[in-house]
Amino acid sequence: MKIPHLDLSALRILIVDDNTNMRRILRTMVSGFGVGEIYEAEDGAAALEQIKNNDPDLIILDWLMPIVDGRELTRKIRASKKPGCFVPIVAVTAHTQKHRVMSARDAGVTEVMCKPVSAKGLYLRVANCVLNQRDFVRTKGFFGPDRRRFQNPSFSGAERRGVKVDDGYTLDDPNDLPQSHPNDISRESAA
Amino acid sequence: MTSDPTKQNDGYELVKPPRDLRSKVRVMSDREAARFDPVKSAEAALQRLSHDFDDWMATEATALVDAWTDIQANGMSEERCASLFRAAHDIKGQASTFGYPLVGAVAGNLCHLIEHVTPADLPGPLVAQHVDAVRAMVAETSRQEDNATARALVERLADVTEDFIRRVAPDAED
Repeated sequence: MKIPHLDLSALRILIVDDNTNMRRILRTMVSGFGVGEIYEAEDGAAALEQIKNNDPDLIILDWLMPIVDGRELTRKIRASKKPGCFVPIVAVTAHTQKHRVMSARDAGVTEVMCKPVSAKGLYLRVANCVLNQRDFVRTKGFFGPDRRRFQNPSFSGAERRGVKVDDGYTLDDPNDLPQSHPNDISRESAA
Repeated sequence: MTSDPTKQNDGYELVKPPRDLRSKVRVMSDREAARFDPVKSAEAALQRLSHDFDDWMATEATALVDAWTDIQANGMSEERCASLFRAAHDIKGQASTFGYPLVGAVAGNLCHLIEHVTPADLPGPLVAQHVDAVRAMVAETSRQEDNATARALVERLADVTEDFIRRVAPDAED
C-alpha cells in the first residue's frame, strides 16, 4: 500500500521519554515528518504539565520510565475527564513479547511500536492515529480507544483493512482521503 | 466530548473524540509529494545526526556499567536491580538505531535474565560478563553484525543465560 504523504505542520506532538538520547531520536524523526510543534517531557509529572499547557494532538510515550511509567501515565491521561483524555498515544517499548503489547493496549494506548524505532514505522503509526481516529469505549473498568476500528454493518465487499506494510504493522486503508486544505476536510466528508 | 446515545450498548458506550485530527492534516498533492517524502526526510535528518551516535552509545554503556558498579559496591536491592534493568533496556531499544545491533542483543539478553530471575538469584559473574561485553563492544565500536568474535560472544551469552534460567526458573514464561 502506498503511504500517504501528509502535511503535518499544524500538528502538535508531545514526546515523553526519560532517556535524553531517545528523545533526540524521536524529535529528529517527528521534526523530519514536518510536524509543526514538538514538545518534550522527561517524566510523567512533566508530561501532565505539558498536556495541560500545550494540549498536544498526539503523544509518543516511552513505556519503561522510573516513578510514573507509561502504563500509569496512560491511565492518568485517560482518567482525567478533560478533552485531553482522548489524545492518541503511541507507546514505544523495547519489550517485544506479545503479552506486554496486549498489556499496553489494555491500559488505553492507541498504537504500540517496538524498538528499534524506524522512521517508517513511526510515521505509519502517527498517520494511522490521525487518519483513522478511533472512537473511545467506556465501560465500568476501561476507558480508551476502541480496538475494533470502524465497523460498517452494511459493508459486504472484500476486507481491505489491515494490510501489512512494515514490521508486521497494519495500516488501515486511507485511500478515500481527500486532497484539500485542512480546514475543508470535515470528518463526515472524509469518512 | 460527544456521546452518541444510539451507540450505548450492553455495558459499554462509544464516545467520539471531540477533536477531529483529520482537520489538522492534509494529504499532499502528487506534486508536493514528489518534493517531500516525510519518511525519507526523517531518515535524512537521522543520518545527519548519526555522527553523534558513537558518543551516545558510549553514554548508554557507561550508564549500564555504573548501575552494575553500584550493585557491586552497595549490594543488590530491588531498586538497584531496576536501575540495571532500565540501563540494559535502554541499550536494547537504542543500540540498533545507533548502529550497534550486537550490543543490543547482549543488552536484550541481560534484560531477559533479569526479568526471569529474582534479584537475589541473579548470577553475578553472568551479569558481569554481559556488562563487560557491552563495554568492550562499544569501546571497540563493534558495529558489524558479521563480526565473528562478537557474534560468537553474543550466542554464547544467550546459551548460558537460557541454561541458567531453565535451572533456576524452569516455569518462567517468555
